[in-house]
Amino acid sequence: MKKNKTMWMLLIVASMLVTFVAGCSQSGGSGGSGSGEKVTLQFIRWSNGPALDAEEEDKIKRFNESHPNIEVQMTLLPWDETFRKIELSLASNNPVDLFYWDVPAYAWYKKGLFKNLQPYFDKDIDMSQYDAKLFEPFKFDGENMFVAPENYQTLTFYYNKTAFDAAGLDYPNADWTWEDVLAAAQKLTIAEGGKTTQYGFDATALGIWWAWMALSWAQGGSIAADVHEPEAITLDTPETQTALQFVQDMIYKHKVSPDVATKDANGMNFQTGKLAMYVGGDWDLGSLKEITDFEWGMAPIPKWGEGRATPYFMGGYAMAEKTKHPDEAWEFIKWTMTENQETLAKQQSWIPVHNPSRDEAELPDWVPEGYREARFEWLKDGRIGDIYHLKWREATDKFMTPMQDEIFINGGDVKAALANAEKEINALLQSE
Amino acid sequence: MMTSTRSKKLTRSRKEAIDCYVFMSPAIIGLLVFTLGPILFSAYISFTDYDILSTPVWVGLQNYVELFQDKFFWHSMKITFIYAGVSVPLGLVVALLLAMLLNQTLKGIYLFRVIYYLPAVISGVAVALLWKWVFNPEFGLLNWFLGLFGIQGPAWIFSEQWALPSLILMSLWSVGGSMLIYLAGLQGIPTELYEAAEIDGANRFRKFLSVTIPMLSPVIFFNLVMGIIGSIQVFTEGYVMTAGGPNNSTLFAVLYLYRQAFNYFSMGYASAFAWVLFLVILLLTLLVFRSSPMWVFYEEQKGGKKSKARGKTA
Repeated sequence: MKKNKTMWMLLIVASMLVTFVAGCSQSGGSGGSGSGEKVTLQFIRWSNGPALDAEEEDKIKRFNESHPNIEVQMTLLPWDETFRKIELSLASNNPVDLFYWDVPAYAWYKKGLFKNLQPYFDKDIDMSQYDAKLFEPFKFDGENMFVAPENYQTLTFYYNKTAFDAAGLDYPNADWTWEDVLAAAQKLTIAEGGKTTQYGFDATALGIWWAWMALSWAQGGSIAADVHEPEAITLDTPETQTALQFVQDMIYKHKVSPDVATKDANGMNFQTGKLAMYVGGDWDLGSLKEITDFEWGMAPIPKWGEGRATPYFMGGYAMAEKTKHPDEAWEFIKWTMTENQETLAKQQSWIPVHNPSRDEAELPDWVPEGYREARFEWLKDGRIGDIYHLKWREATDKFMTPMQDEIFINGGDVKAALANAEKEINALLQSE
Repeated sequence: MMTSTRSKKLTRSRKEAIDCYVFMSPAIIGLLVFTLGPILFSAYISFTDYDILSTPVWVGLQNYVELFQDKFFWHSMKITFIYAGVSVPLGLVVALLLAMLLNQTLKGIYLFRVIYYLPAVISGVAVALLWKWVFNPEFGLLNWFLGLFGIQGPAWIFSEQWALPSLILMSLWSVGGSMLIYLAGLQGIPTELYEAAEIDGANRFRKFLSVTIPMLSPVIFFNLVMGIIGSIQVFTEGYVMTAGGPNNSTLFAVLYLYRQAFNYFSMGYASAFAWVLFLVILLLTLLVFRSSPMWVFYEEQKGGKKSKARGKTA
């Protein structure tokens, strides 16, 4: 794409304009034939790979079949693309009606592009069937819901049962502390001829702020007092230092975990059986249930001393402020939060927000030992693993990720890296 | 369409001119229809605060002022200049050496030319993913090769020190294009020049210095200009392979610009950045153009050190 004396940027802008024009032309219009009353809703969400996408396609199909007057047209795109596409659509006067939420979309809320869903919630949703407290983060202004949660995601502890059997160790359980993890990891790390062929733990999976945060939280630490537009965050705290030092030591001091280069270079992950334990998202279950080479199990995130904290995240739908069919769009959202929750619970790909559906669902055959406890117990005291701030993505790119690189890739000084990142991020958050 | 009476009157040069414009038209129409509008628009929004979602607000030179105070701007420019400063000369040299190798007359030379040119055809994301494997610290080709000599290779793209050198090394992948242009240039050098040099007692190296290089200088010039323009716009490698890391060590200018535009809602700022980058490229290109009388020789000119005859035109 090298053009003499024109810039990449302009090509991007040019292609944006093209998509913009294309985007304008495809929304609106009445779908369906014959029934003049039929309302077409444009909906954009991102793809999660073939297996999960098939479930989404099926969801839309079932909704359309059960609602003859509405047709939801879903566009599935790669994550990054989704945001560009929705953004251009929202900037136009004829925006997409519905879109799937993720944290970067908070910027659009700030611009007043989200429909306030609270009136609909008040009218149609029986909140006694949901965990109201867990929904709180989506009250961006502290009072009104702007995104309708459909599912939760969480982090959980996975272990290779076969490796534990081979080492003659007891399986992890809900009482495990990080000290227990380290002790087990040392016994599960196997070297042959000067090369480590099996590592006890994958500390690199904890290398992202919304994961390592759990270890700081468990000690009573915190990054932000309020996740809604914090004016400052705290990184240089004893709890966070201790947490990150512990994770770093797993790699460089105890050598029970590979570093990023070693892990990537050897194609090591839990699925290959070369890493005996890791903390990962429950969205990994889809690929883990395909494992045939060994047995595996789940446990809640280990405790730090007596404390435990589990980050959770939410998936859900938002409606564009300028949608021409708010009631029909809500009809779809409501359906995903109510009637469809039973199917969601059966599929077990995501954690349903509707308590009765979740509790009554039969667990499928593939679920491993410790599944129910690890995947659902946190609901009592989960903490949102997000931060909503216009500049958060910039802060992450510019300072948080480099800080993590310094600690986990360079093996640098934890305290210095934290102090520096805190100073820089706070300056950015407070800048105009 | 021309009428038949007019077409008879067309002189040959007119005909040629028309042919020329016909051949140029796709590029010109493409520019007018697809790129000129956005270029002008980006010039306008570079003076505004624009986040795509709301109307642009005029802020004058503020974006440019902020840009020059942004340490990430300077950092990304530095990274880009190191990349360009090493990869362009390296590419020129390697492409020339390859072209000289492929300029031999031996059996199957065409096959070799095709093989060496092929990589230039494949580009972008696919190549980036391929090279990720080449750079793999454990199983990669590179470290396997170094291992043959008992050298323990570095972690390449996973290491803050080696990530940028890795991408510079990778830039050699696409020397095929300039190699081909060199090859055409080499084949255009009259053999009598070499014969004359031989009669004067020049050895191989001397012939290379006094005949090949001067005769190739227009081609070197062309490749140099294209190399500068291309390498300062480096983006894909940093985006796909390293995501600007580790620790911002491969945060190229265009990658940072892209993030400002699409991830941080600063379209105006990114446009200002793009224009600054354009001016930098323009300036460098002009410098190379201005320097050309000193080292580029065209066939009708006399060689030798800056002949006085051209002093006036400068």
